[in-house]
Amino acid sequence: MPFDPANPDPFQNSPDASENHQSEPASLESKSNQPSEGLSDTELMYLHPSSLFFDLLAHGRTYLVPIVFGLFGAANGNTYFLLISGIFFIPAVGMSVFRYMTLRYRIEADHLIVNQGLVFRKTRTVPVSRIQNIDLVQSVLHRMLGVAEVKIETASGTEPEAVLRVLSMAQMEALRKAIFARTGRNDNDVGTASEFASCGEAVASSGNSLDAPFAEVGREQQPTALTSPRDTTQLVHSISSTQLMMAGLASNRGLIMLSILIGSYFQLVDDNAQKSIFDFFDQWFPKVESIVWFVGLIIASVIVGLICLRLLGIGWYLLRFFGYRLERRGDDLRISCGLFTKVSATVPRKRIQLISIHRSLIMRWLGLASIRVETAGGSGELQNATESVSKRWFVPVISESQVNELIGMLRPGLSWDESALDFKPVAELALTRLRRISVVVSVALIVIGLIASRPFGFLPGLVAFPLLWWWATKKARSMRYARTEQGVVYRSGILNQKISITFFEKIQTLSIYQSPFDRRWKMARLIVDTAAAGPAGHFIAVPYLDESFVQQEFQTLREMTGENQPVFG
Amino acid sequence: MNEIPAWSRQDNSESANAQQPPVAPLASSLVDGEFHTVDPRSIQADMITSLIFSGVLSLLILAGCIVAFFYFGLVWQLFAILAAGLVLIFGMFCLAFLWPRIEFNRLKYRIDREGLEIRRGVVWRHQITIPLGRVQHADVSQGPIQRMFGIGTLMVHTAGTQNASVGLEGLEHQHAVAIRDFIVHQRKGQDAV
Repeated sequence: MPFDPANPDPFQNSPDASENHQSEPASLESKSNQPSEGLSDTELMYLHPSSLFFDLLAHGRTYLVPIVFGLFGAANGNTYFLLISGIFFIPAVGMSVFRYMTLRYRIEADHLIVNQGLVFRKTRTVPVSRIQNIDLVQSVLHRMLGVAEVKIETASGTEPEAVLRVLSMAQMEALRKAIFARTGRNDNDVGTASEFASCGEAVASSGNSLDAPFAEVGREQQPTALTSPRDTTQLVHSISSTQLMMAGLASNRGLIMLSILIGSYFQLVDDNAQKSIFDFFDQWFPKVESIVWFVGLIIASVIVGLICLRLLGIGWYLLRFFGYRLERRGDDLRISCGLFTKVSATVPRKRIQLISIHRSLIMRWLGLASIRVETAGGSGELQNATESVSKRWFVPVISESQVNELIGMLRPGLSWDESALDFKPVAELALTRLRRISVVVSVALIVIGLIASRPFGFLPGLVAFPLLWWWATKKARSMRYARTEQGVVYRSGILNQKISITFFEKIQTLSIYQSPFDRRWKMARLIVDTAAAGPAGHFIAVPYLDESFVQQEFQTLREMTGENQPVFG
Repeated sequence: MNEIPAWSRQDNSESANAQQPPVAPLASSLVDGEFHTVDPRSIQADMITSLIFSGVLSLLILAGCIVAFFYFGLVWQLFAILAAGLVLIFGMFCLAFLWPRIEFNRLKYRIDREGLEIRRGVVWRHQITIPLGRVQHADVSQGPIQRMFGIGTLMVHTAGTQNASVGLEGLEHQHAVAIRDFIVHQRKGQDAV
């Protein structure tokens, strides 16, 4: 089924595309997997021509230093340096051209097939049903050209299954549609071939306008004939700038901004300039004349520093999450945000393994919370922007009153009311046990202190004791476990409170650990393992539970996980 | 002339599903819900492994003592070190003899409708359930010493993170293979996460 010839991209309809079909090794396996619902294969598709430039930007970074060095030398009159530049630059360009020319992708028989290379041919076949997310990143440059970097993720591996750098917005939407139509995620997206073509056409007309915010692209390209109540994009949550600023105020993100600033300062400013800046500070700062001045100066600079850190935190939040929108379309959740670099990520509802609500101390004061979700796959460390938005920063900030509603939306049939949960506290003796630990640690600190320095060495231990005692009390009270009709809930944390929710059909294994100490106190640790890659910084392992309760709960959970099979395909 | 080898027949057949071995009779004998110990021969196998380990470690300790002798000469400290080393070696060999049996007694497994459950641990106790529907794949491996005793290790992999693969070592090899086949056939493609 060809694309509409009106499609502005010249590469999509290249006449020789159909001939290349025969050379694809992957077409062998299409016999067993018949395309569903009469969807025919798409043609071979190529990257957007501007890929050349972006590929060079991404891969050429390693050669940047020698190239700049060479150009610098050439500017000083030594033409041999141009040669050095060329030695690094020409192969880099060549590689980019090669990558651009040889990469093509298509969807055939429920598989996304990406071909790369000419001599050493690499064919990647991704079953469409396994695709977890289709994410995009759009920097300012991307947006000016109307293109985006597209990442296809599955549950396996640490990196995206395929990175298409870059596609035009029209191509991207066509790909997204083709994939989603095959997974049947949006019920009404599953259409006939002609409907599919008309989708592509609609994209061609709307997708290329430069500044079309791509949250809306999806809506515009819906052919009117297909529209039904379930098909429309529904705004679930948006964050105002004020709220973002409050979140920035509450966070420690300023430290990250500070480190970036310091890093770029040392990279960009040379030694002489640095020296002159220090000289400037030397003159500007009042000379230390008395101890009062000195102390005052230190306190003042600490306060100024803290304020600056908070301001930087606000800046970071605005930069990352400006214009945040969480939208729902059928069973897909789409996030888009970003001030300069726009990020759009799709999280299929069914793939959510774990939901967790985080509340730091300051956030609690401000009546705010943040929500993370975990899908399977990807690495524990969040390397790229889309991954970090869809996982770590699913909802970066939300006011406390909206939390219940939003969580309830993340899963069909889930009604979430935290206060109504029947939390099971840890064993009664846990408090005693934790307090005993605090006593032992304090005594050890006192003894070590006395050995280290004779008369006053006991002081640190003595100071630590009430703090540790407080920590023990708080910790024992903070840990809670609950089982709902759909899954398991675990709450923990003293300053940073976290609540995690997972569901019976998402539980992979159940286990109980018991250390010798646990046995002495008749306690055990209940561990619920899910496929969540980096479990939102909150692994469901409930310690200090009653031994008998854990055994009983283990049996119940076994039955529940056995009954609730993962049925999504 | 018409004799087609079994492997080639299976390879050429369009529907491999039709040739899958029947699992029903196996299932009834495996899924009894009772706790079982692994094969007792695993005690000897473990013993040999830990004896080899202890032997290598003892040689290292003795070598250390010899080096110390050439370095310091014959002084009383050397005798102290030697004595400590010998006590260590003795303790190690005692453990190598006793520990496999203690461990064997604590290692139990069962298969029931809900899944495979394994209980183990002498000092740190561990109990784990892998629901049969969550198994991604399972395999049986056999080391050289295990092969001498006809035992093997069953590894069950899930999509989880912390307990993504769970091992059950010391099963009789045939039995391990039977369990693996049973588990793999149970999952019926419910592998989505």
